[in-house]
Amino acid sequence: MFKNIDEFKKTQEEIFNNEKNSNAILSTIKLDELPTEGKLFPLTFAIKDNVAVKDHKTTNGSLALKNFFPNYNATIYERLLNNGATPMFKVNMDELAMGGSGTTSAFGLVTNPLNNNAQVGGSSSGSNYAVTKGLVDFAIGSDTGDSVRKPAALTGTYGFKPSYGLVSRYGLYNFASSLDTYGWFTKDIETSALLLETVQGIDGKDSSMVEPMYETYTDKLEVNETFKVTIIDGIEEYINDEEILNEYKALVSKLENNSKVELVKHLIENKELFENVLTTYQIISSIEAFSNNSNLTGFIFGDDFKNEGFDESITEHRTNNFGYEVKKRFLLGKFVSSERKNLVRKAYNVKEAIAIELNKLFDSSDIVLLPATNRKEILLDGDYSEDKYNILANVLTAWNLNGSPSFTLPLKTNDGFLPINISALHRNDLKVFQGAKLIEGVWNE
Amino acid sequence: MERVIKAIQDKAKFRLTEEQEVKFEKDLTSFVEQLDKFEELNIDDKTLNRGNNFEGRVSILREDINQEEDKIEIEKNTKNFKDGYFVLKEGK
Repeated sequence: MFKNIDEFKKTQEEIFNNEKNSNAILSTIKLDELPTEGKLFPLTFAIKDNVAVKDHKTTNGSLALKNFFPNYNATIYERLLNNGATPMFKVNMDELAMGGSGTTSAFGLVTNPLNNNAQVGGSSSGSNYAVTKGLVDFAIGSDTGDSVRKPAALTGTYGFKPSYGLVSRYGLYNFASSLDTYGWFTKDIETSALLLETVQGIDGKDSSMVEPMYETYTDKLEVNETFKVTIIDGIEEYINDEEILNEYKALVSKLENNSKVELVKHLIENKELFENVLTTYQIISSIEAFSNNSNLTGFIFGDDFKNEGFDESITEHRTNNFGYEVKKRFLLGKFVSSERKNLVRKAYNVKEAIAIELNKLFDSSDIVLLPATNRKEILLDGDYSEDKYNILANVLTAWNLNGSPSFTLPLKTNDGFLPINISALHRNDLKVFQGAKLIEGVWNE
Repeated sequence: MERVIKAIQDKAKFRLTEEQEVKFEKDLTSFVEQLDKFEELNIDDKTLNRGNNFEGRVSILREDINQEEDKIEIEKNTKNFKDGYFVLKEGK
């Protein structure tokens, strides 16, 4: 807690200067006065640079928006402020939220604080970095394909993505509208649940929203009845890391022997469907992304209009201001929509087929439990192309395809952590928090 | 491949640098391989049909929400839905 605004500003500047080489913090957020009360008081936070903050540079990690100052606040930002949270930093991210690695921002590489040669994950790279390093109490990110939950698995933070439509996207720069949600990094389950309580709910500015089933979560985290937990039979074959494999087996064994848990084993019958999760995501997200970003012409958000013709001016602006990853994804979207048109409709059908299959996992259970990743570390210079058909490597993305709430959390081990992921049916976010609390408790017994 | 890469750059209204073009050719080749596998994927007709009509989409998206009010909302919304379009005004 800060004594006064001067102390706050001094702390902000110190952290900003200390972290200059990490590229994680893009700017400090200017405040005239500090909050004094509220459900989130005195927590501090950082916010991904694709969330609109009034009169504050918001770049989306791209040179195309390097001088853009929104004239309004995102709903989530307003709600955090209204509940007493103190904003400290705008943080770095993969360009236009595309990358999944922390390596594609126009404003520098963000690496993993636990190992400089490894990825911190993305696209919410700066948000994850800020919480992992303890620079803030929580950090807001966004999650279209796993951009909060995968990074959390690489650093041992808690990364939560709420049900699609539960938190207003007003003010979040669109990537792929049918998949985009906010997400956040915290140091514990309780803060994550508290955040959902304070930022969820319809605000009238986002027509894709759904009503929450619960007003509060933090008062309902403990469960007294037996909790039914689905695990995927045979998921072990997709784990590339021996430590994860052994620790996951140890977790299953603990759960099998615990009276509070009823373990349900589910065999994935249609493996081929789940091997195509990444491709489905790539088709849908690249097509939606190009539409959503078609206003990046240099006219509206920049000052790049050249008097040499409309198309020529746009081409020059985009050529000079987009990085390779963004260009690649836009071109892949253009390729599918022009050369393989039939696959666009198919991708939306497969998305729904995957959603149906995923929802079946909850027929006889409350939550689905999985290892959150197939590898503990992703090295900056590693080649992981083999992961494109690995069901476990892409399973977090599947939860974006059906809109489920999904939570990555670290179970502490002797020399590190086991990253696990818990998901539930759409709008059953409470079960995710309850499951997380229960499983963390069982693991620590 | 070269022709296609040039054509989609024209559509997207930007250019790759020479170095990026070499990289992209590899990425596109890998993506085409993924698309070929994706094309072979069979999803059953029932699922396809559900995905192809409005009622199907709504029920899939909402099948987890078993609240009476939601059912009523879906029925209300589908009344004027015909052949994939909302009918705002009946023709004469």
